[in-house]
Amino acid sequence: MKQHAFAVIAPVIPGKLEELRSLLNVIHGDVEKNSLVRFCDLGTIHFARFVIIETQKETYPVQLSFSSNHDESEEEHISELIRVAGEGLKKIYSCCEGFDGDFKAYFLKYKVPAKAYYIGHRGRGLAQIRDESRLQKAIVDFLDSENRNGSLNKMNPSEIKNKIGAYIKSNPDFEFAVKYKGLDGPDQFFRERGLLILLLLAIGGFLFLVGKGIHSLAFPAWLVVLIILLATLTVIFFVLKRKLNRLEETDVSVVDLVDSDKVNSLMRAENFVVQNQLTHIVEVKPGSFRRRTLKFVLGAINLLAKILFNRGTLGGIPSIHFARWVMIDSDKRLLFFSNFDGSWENYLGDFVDKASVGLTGVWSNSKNFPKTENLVSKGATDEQHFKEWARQHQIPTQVWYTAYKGLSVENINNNSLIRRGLFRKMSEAKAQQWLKRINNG
Amino acid sequence: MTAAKQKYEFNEMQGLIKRGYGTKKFTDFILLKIEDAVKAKQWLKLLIPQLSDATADKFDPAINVAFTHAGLDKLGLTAHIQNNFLREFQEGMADETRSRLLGDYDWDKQVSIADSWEWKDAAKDVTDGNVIDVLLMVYASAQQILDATYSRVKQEASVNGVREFKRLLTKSNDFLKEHFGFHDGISQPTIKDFSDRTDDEDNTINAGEFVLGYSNQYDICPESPEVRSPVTNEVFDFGRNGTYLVMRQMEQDVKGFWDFIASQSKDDSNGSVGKVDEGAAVFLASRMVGRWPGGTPVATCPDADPGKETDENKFLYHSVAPEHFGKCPVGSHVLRSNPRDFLGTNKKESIKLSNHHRILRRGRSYGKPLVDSMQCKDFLCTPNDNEERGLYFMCLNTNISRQFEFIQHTWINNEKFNGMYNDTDHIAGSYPGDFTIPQSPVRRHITNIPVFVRVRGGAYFFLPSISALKFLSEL
Repeated sequence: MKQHAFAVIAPVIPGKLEELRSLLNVIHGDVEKNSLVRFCDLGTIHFARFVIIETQKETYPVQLSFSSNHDESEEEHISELIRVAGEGLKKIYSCCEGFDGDFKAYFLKYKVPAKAYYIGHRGRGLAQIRDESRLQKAIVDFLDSENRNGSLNKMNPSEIKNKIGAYIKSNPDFEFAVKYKGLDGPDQFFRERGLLILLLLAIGGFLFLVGKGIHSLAFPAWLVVLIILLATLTVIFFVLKRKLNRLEETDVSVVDLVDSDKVNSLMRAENFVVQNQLTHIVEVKPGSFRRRTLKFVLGAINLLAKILFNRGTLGGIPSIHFARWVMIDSDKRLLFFSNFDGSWENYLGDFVDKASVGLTGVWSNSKNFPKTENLVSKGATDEQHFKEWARQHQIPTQVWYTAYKGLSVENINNNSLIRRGLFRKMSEAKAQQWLKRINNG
Repeated sequence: MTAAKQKYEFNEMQGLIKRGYGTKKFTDFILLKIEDAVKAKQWLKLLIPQLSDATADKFDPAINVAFTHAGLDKLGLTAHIQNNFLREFQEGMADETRSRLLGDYDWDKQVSIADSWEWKDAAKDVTDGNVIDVLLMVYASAQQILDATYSRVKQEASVNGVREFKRLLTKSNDFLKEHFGFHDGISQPTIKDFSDRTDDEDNTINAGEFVLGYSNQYDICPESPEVRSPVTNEVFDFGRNGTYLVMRQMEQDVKGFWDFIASQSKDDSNGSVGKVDEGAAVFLASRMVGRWPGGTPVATCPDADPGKETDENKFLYHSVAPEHFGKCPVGSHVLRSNPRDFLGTNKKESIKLSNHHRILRRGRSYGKPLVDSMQCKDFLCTPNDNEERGLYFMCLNTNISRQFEFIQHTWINNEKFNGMYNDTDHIAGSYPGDFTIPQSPVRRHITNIPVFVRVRGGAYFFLPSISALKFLSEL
């Protein structure tokens, strides 16, 4: 049921680029109900996009990217795609090299895994997100009508909560909320923090044993080996750091002001619904050192996204639904897809204000990124230049679909908490808090 | 050892950067079009000695001048650009793509409202005659001085190829209230080391946020427009000591606002046909604003209107008395336009973040008040007239998209602000929506509130330094 990242990036037949473009334009004209890929009928997709990657045509082949954030297994997702949009997809992929009609084999061949994947509302499938939104709206309407004459104000919070519960129980539309209360307390806690706790326990245990060894002056052999290993790693770290610093000194960072027309055309696709998207592509700096560092940082972010940033914010940024990094063209280029709430300015501003360390850690390994020191310092903190750089490497997204265009990440997570608390017994104080959540105002 | 105070070139900055000329209550904003670029430069030469800079306020009237990108283009400046102006300024506030961002968009008709603005900085239709070039601001201490100055500057301009397009009259009232009846102009950032006035650290902002040539809140000097002189071939920092000026004519439907408030404040004992409970009406309106009519913040004093006039501005939402905490609606106008410590969950970080999006407000009201007393109870019972009234909203900032546009899109017009669902700003917002008032045990939720403000004109201007104006006049 969990959300997964799926992406297929295939080369486009040079003569068929314009045909592909007009097909995608048809979809863009009515993304939900168009005749080629009727996204509103795809029950496994949260967000999806088609992008023609055609920058640096002299060096890299033109490619078509299809990416989705989906529920169910990859097999089931692909099956649904074929079932609902087989005809349209056939037309689209006929514009790509080597497509012979066998989707499964083709997708397998051109599938690209995510190097780092972040989800703003983990563990909730599309149906659950929609159900919980309906639940929140129904409770709002119920409260509005019941309290028209102020009668609810004379009751206790838990009495009101029970009244809401009774109303919901009586309505078969909300059977899902009655049957399943949503993730349980301790289970949820461990699921979200388990790995982190194990990690901390391991470190704690190690330090304890070292301490014990120092105290009794008797180190078990395996502990000695472990200490030597750590010492070696520290040395290696400083060697690598020196190499990095030397590279950074000679890094080129030319951030030209971006062409106004380009920004305007990107902005023409923005600010229609609550959410926005961006597709961003950069060339990795040459050399294996940079490539390996990039992969390491992406791996670290991917891990952190699972064990630490799994409760609705990525490094403090609360507005990202799904984001992923993918490496293409033999790891020479880094592609970034993001689906987020609010404006581009707000999103990039959050990058600068809240998550500049992590983002600099990733993108300082790409060409022309604002001057960086020690992999994570400066870089994205140079606000104006970083934003200029971001627009420079942003590319148009021909087709973009969102399955819940009126919901922010905070809405979705709040709705889950409303559902979770609805049939749970709680104190008056907690019930009052729960009631406050309904509108969150 | 305290850090050395920042030094500023006040003699270069136009006065509006340093002061709002609040004591000069008689003000005109004159919109002009350049018809003869060569002659217009002569006009500039005449104008420059009359301008007020940011040193002591010695002239009466004080005059300042600003230009749209179209105006600077006509004067030939943009042909010599080395480092360009902000993209937002180049494209204009009235640019259609920007309209969606700013809330100037009619979603039903799928068209920008700026198309029908009475004055603007850009238009996609080349025959649109409402694009202006120059904004002349005249602040006087008496009506006669204002009128005499207006006649004189209009004459000086017209003989020099600069024609008046529109004279925007303003009208301030003795209560310092805006037209809905609320004390306005209270919250202003204090610029670091700008004057002897001190303020809390969390309301003290680096000058670079409001005037070019100095460090901003990121401790970096923001990008400034630079021009290559056709005479000396040297690069001149045109933007230094200048800034971007945002202006929007916001018509306020005062009667519509108070009628709506009245409809939601009926005395319940007689059902829906009851009398309007004046106290409840003021309470509701104040909740929407975030301050009581006299200016006291709802956050620090939520239960009843203390009645007095105040400029109280040193407060944080998390630092109010515990029994008051959480009573100010999250969607209120005052909280939305400066969230202080109330963004997200971390107070200190919130203040730091809020301070990346501050503006220096310089607006003036226009139009006759619906009621001279400006008292809420009188608004409730006075019938409507057919007069236009509202606010010429104006602000200064050096980064239009991070400051003004951000506040407008991400705070004011954002129904998802701070985790909400469908609440909008009903004092300055562009869209209808809901409003949630925190109450125990159940919130008060008002839905489908119409819009009470209509933008009738708008532009991004540049307010150049004295040296930049001289450079322009000699181009």
